[in-house]
Amino acid sequence: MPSSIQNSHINTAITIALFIAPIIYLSKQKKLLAKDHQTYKAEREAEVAFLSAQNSSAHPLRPPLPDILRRVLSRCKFAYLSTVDAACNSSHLSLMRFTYVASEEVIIMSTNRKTKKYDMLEKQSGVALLIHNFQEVSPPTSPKLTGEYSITLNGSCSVVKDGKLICK
Amino acid sequence: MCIAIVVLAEKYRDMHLSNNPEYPQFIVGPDIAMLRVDVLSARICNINDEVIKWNVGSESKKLTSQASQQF
Repeated sequence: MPSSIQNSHINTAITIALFIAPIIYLSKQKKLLAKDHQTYKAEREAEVAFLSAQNSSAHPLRPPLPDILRRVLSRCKFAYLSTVDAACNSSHLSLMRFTYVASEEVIIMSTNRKTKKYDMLEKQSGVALLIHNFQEVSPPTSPKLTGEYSITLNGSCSVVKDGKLICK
Repeated sequence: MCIAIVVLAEKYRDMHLSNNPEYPQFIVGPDIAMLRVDVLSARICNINDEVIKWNVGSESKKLTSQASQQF
């Protein structure tokens, strides 16, 4: 086969590939977007059903944590931590990054020991956390955070001891 | 022979850092303590001002809009 014909075939193949590749990419993106929207819609319907179901006292909320709470806690990273400032007969607020450990149903955070909140936590372990799933500017493929829920948690906060080096 | 015991704090620190990789300055360091909150109760409020209460040890009730003052 003459090389000019071969080159022509290669050029045709490249042209077709360049034309088809974006179409395939856009098609896949569209499917992903549709799937995300479907998941989001299903979650919202489940949440609405959950909220409606609670109208009946026959469905009291008990452990484990409700799905709504688990979902919001898993998606959010910021919380306002309220600690008791007994010396001033007041309270103290701190903006915290947190991680929700679903397997243990606990929330973990970190703090410098040379802080006011750490001093207060050593004296009083009772805390409150305010978490809100603020509306985030996110790509249309991930319409996850709706800013629809505010959650106030009350709990007991403990300082987890660090690791030790044991020498035998 | 020395044996390093990786206790809960280090496990939590790793998880927390993994979840917040952009903030190591608040998570890793000799003066950084790990905190663990055991949730005892919760109040969930939606944009329609419907409030659901959850409690570790007792029954919970849904409150309506008058509960907004609690938020």
